[in-house]
Amino acid sequence: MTDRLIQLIEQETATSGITLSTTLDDLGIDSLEFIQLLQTIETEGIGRVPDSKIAHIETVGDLVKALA
Amino acid sequence: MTFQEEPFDSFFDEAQPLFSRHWRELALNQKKIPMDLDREKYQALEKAEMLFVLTVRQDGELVGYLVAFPMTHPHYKSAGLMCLTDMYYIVPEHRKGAGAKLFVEFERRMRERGAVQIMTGCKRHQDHTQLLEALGWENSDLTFVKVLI
Repeated sequence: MTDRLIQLIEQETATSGITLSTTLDDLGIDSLEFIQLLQTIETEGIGRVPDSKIAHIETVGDLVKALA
Repeated sequence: MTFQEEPFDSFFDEAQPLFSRHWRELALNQKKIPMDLDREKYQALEKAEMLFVLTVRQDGELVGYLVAFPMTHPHYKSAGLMCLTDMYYIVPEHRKGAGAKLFVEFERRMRERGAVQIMTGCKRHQDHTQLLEALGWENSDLTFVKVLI
């Protein structure tokens, strides 16, 4: 799941070299793009981040944990 | 970055520099209507359990807030708890994604309290319609202002 997620994020944000420690800041995404990314992750069938975990996501690793 | 509900008084003191930045960035008619937050009025609302303060902190430093008024609506007394946003702000240097998280946390905490409806707004010159709609909010009203002084 992690590889697929990273591939999707790279595709959606036009960023390469993403690792688990890449931050939202590194991705250069704003609030709207962040929510759209979460929605794409869900529609692509990777998973849904519970609302209670969204505020804690600062890195791609946090996102992986939130989807677990 | 952390999001937490906090009591009003300590927040109010700590937030003074942010209130000034917020006002300078967003308030209209600044020459005619100066910023002057009424501490006693907010304290009375808190005492009546009609004040909600959600703070945003980065490494402990206050970098944003959302203040709202949870109460039964005078038009819909029996409908249950509703909540109207008073103000929200995140300092520009900490905005990357924080606004979305702030609104998700606001909604989540109001759901936990059993609120049936939450309401917010934004300035036309800093329009958050796309973000709010992406979060499932409905654009339902237009607000008009006429300064009389």
